Amino acid sequence: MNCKQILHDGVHEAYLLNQLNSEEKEAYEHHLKECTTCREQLEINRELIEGIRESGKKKMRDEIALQVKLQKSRKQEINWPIILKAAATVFIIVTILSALYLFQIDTPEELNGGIKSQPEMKKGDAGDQTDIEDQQTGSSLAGETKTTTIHPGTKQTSPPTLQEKSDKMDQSDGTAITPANILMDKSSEILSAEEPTGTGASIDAGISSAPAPTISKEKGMNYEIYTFANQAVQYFSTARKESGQEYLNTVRPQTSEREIEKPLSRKKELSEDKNKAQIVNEQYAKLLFKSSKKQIEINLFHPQRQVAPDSLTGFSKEFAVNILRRNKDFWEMDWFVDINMFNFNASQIVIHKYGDEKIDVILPGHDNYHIDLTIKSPVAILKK
Amino acid sequence: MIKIFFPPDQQYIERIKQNDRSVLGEIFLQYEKMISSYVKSNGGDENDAEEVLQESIIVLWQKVCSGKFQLTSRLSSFLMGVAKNKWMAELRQQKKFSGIEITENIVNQESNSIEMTVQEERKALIQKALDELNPLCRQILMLFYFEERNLKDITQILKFANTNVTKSKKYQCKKVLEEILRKKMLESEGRTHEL
Repeated sequence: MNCKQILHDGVHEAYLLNQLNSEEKEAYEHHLKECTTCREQLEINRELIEGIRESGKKKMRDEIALQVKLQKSRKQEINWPIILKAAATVFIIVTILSALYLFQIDTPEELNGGIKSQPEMKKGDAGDQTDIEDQQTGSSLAGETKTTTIHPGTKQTSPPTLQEKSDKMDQSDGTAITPANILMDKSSEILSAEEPTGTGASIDAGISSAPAPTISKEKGMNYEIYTFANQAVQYFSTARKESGQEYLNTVRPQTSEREIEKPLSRKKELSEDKNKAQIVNEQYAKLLFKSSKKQIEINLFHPQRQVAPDSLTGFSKEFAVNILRRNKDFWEMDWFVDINMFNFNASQIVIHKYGDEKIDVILPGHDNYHIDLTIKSPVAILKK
Repeated sequence: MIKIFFPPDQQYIERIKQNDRSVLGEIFLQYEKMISSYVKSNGGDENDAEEVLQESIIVLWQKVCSGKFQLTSRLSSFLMGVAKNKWMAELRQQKKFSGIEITENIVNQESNSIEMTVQEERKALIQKALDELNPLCRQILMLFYFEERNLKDITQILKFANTNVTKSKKYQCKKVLEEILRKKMLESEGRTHEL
């Protein structure tokens, strides 16, 4: 090893970085003992590398501090209200499900399925007992039809079926039993049926024929409230599966109190407010709103035409209405409601809100209408 | 999908290898409480804890970049181990300068302090020289000498054509730094002579 070779091959650096093998190291150290220039050169290299490392450390400390700052600011940006909203959604779903469970309300699907799956249903003459004929089972060794007669007080070992539930209820008032009756009786707080429940056939037809029958206003609303809960659960569960991030990133309208309280009737101000009153999807009608404690007044106007609400005469049969909730200094989307309206010529919808699970829609002064309420999560809107 | 705020250890390691600097902040925030409680329970304060954690993260970064690190235990265990050593060394240092021993070895201490001053001056000069270096050169030298990355990694990070380019650039940059440093030293010596 000589000085020229050492300098050319960068042996000083390799030695300092511990990159020499044992033989090279030995030879180099042996040379160092004799060569003052190389020793000096080694020292310069050592100082240089140490200096770079020292400087690197300082810079990295600064960088760590900077990154911590950035991370903290990012954490602050995490939209806690939306997270809380998601938690609230889960809570509501659980509440609805548990309420359904407690009141033992069967879903319409179950009811319809129950009706279809029932092979035969006989009504007793006096209503004191009901005979249920089961279908012939596969184990018909004797080739006989098995018939079960259920008497009052008979203990059932198997889980109660729909028919058995019917039987139990039948004992109390003696009315004819249908699954629809069970629903109507058990959920009397929710369903306030005006029609007599005497004939099961009429109610059966009412439930199985259409999801939202054209019925009187009061009953219609109640029915919708009932279906609302089920649909909400379905929509939220599917939307949450599909959406993920999108759900959390939903645009949240941010409208100040002053903007909200601007009069809507004037055309000029409407156009000014066009971009201020926000809704998630531009395809839907834009909305401006006023809010009091329990009542949300919604005024609709056409987004493209920019016309005053008064001239709204059935431009669309479908409306998308956001129901927003005041959350300190911004408006938070609470529910999204699809409203299909027929014979619609009102410019105003008043939504009375009694809590997160119940929404009642009234079109003032218009009795001849059909409202189909479906609740959708914001994600469903974005995907449309 | 809801963001995962605390990815698994292996993910941290991969991100360090890819020179993702944001991981520095994430690691700091994740292990801040753990290190802080240890340092505080051993006579330190919040600032000491911060410093120790920073040092530990730097060690982790260097080890991962140099390819000397293999994840055989949890990252928290590794960081805790490093932090403990660092804090113990710091405590020993503090004891050393507690004043009791100084009176006995006052002469040695004086000569040491002169040497230290010279060293500090040298370090300051190198720091100044590095500051004068162009940013790319500085980055190359940092990646090679401080982070101890190999030429292949540096080529990938800085998007050079191949390792030969990186090698020659590194050589040139080091020469430039040496030249700046030499000038700085001459200036400094000249000033000392003038005084």
